[in-house]
Amino acid sequence: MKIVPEITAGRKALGVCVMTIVPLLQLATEYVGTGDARRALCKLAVTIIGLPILIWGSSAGLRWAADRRSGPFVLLVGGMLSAGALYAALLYAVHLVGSSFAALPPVPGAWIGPAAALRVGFAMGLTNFGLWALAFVFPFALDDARFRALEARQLRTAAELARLRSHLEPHFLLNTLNAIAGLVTEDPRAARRLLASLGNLLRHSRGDDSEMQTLGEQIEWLRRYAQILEQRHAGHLAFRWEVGAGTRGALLPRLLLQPLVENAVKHGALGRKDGGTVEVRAELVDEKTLVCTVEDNGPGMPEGTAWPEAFGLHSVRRRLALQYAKRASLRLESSPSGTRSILEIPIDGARS
Amino acid sequence: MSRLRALIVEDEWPARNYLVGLIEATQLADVVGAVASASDAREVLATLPVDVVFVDVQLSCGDNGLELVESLVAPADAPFNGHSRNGGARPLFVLATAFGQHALAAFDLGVADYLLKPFNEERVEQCLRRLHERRPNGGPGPVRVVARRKRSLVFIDPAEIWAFEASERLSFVHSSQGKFDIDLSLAAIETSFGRYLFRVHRNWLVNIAFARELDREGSETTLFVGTSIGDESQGVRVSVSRDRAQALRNALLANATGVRRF
Repeated sequence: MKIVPEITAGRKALGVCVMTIVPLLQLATEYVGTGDARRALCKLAVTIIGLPILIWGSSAGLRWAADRRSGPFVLLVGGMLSAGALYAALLYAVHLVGSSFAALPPVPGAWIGPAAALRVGFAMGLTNFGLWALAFVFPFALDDARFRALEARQLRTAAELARLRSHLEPHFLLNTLNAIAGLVTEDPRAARRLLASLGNLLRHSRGDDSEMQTLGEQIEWLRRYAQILEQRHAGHLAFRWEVGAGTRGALLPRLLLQPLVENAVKHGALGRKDGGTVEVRAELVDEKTLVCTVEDNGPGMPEGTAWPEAFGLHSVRRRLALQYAKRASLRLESSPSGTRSILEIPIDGARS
Repeated sequence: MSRLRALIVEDEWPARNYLVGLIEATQLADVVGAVASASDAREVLATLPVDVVFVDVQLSCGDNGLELVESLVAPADAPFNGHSRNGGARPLFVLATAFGQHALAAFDLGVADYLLKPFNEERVEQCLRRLHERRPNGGPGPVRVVARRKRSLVFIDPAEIWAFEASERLSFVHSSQGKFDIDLSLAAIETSFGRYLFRVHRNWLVNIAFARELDREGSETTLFVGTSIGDESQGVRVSVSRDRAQALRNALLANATGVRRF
C-alpha cells in the first residue's frame, strides 16, 4: 500500500489566510510607522500580484519535490531563492511604474533607486516564503519523510508476514518429507501421523489472512509444528504446554511465537546430547497483560553472540513495535542451563 | 568388490534410520556407525576406519556439516589424525541437505557427492557406485557398533553383542560390556547387522549365538541371552512374542541335538 501525504482543503485555506493577512498587517504597520504611502502602495501591489504566484508555485514545487522524493532541504532553498527573485523582479517593476506617477512623491530620505528596490523585493520574497514554509510546507515535508519510513516498514513487514504464512521454510518441509520417506517402511503408523500433522499445518497456515489471531489458534498451530519436530527428533525432544485459564481468547500477531519456539528447539533443546525439553507457557497478569514464555533446557546462548538481533528475533520485535508501539516487550534470559524468551502483550480485545 | 565402510552424521532420527536402510540395501557399503552430532562423528573417525562419511549440512546444536567436513579434510601432506588407517587414506565425504545452495562450497572442499532430501534408493546407489570408482578397495576392517554411554561413545564388536532392545523411542544394546544407548531404530539395526540377529519381539533383536535358555510359562515365552546362566548369570531375559516363538524355536533347534522338539 502506498501512502502519500496530502494537504487537506482546511489546511490549505488556513495557509492562504495566514499568507494574506500577515503581509497586509505588516504593510499597515509599516505605513502607520513611516507614513510613506508610495512605498506601502508599491509593496501592496507586489503582494497582490506575487502572493498567488507564490502559493501556486510552491504547491507545484512541493508536488514535484514529493514525486522526486527530494527531501525538505531542496524544497526550502529552491523556494527561498525563487520567491526572492520573484519579489525582487516584481518590486523593481512596480518601482519603475511607480516612478512615473507624480501623484505620489517619494518621501525624502527613504528608499531611492532600482538597486534598493531589488534588495527590498528580495527580502520581501524571503519573508513571504518563510511564512509559507512555516504555515505548511515544512510540516508537509516532515510528514512526507515520516510517511515514507512508515511505508517502507509496512512493505518489509508485509513481505515477512507473507513468508511466514506461505508457510515455513522450505527446509522444514523437505526435511519433514525425508522423515516421512524414512518412516514409511519402518513405522508406517508414524509416517501416516506425520503426514496428517504436516497436512494440518499447511492447511492452517493458509486459512486466514488477518494479521491477528487468538492465542488458542496459535497454540493449536504450534502444537502441530511441535509434533512434527518431536517425531523428527524422536527421543531427543519433548514439548510441554501450559496454557493458563482465560488466555485462549487473547489476540496476538499471527504465528508470533513460532520463531521463539524454533530457536528454543534448534539452539536450545537439541543442543543437549541426551535430549532436551521446550516448555511453552501462557498466562494472564492483572487481567490486562498476556505473558507468553518459551523456555528450553539447552546449553544457553554462547557468550558474545549478538543473539537479541539474531535468529528471527528481529522480526518478532518489529512486529511487536508496529502493533503495540511500546506497550509490548520481548525479553531474553540465558544461562548455561537454558534460555527463556518472555513476551508481554497488552490485551486489546478478544475473540470468543 | 569389497564393501565401503560408511559413517552417517544426521541429527534427525527417521532420516538417520532411513539413510542406514538405503545404504545397506545397495549392498555396496556397511554402516559402521550413525551419530547425531559433529563431535560424535569426530570421535568415531578418530577410532574406527571409515571409507565414506554421509554428513547432514544442517545439524542441530549450531553444528554445521560443512564446517565438520572442512575441519576433517586436512591438507594432503598432513596424515589424517596421525593414524594410517585405510592405508593412510582420508574418508570421502557425501553431503546430505534439502537444497543445493551449498553445492559450490562443498565441491570446493572436495566433497565426493551431494544427496538432496528426500533421499531415494536410486540416487543413493548411484552415489555409492561413484564412490566405489574413487575408492575401489574399501578396507575389510572390523565392523564395529557405535553406542553411547552418557556423553561418551563406546565401540562394540558385534561378536560381543547379546541383544538390541527398543523401548519407547530409545534403543539399547546389551553386551558383555554392559548396556548402552544406540542412536538407531531396531529396523535400521536389523538392516545393518541382520545377518547376526534374530527378531524375537517387536522390541527385541537377539544374537542367536548367545541364546542360552528358552523358557515357557503359560503362554509367555522368554529367552535368556548372555554369556553364562545359573547363579552368576550374565545376560538379559527377553520376552518372545507369540507369533515369533515357533520360528525362534526352529532356528535354535536347527543345529542343536539333545532336545526333542517341543
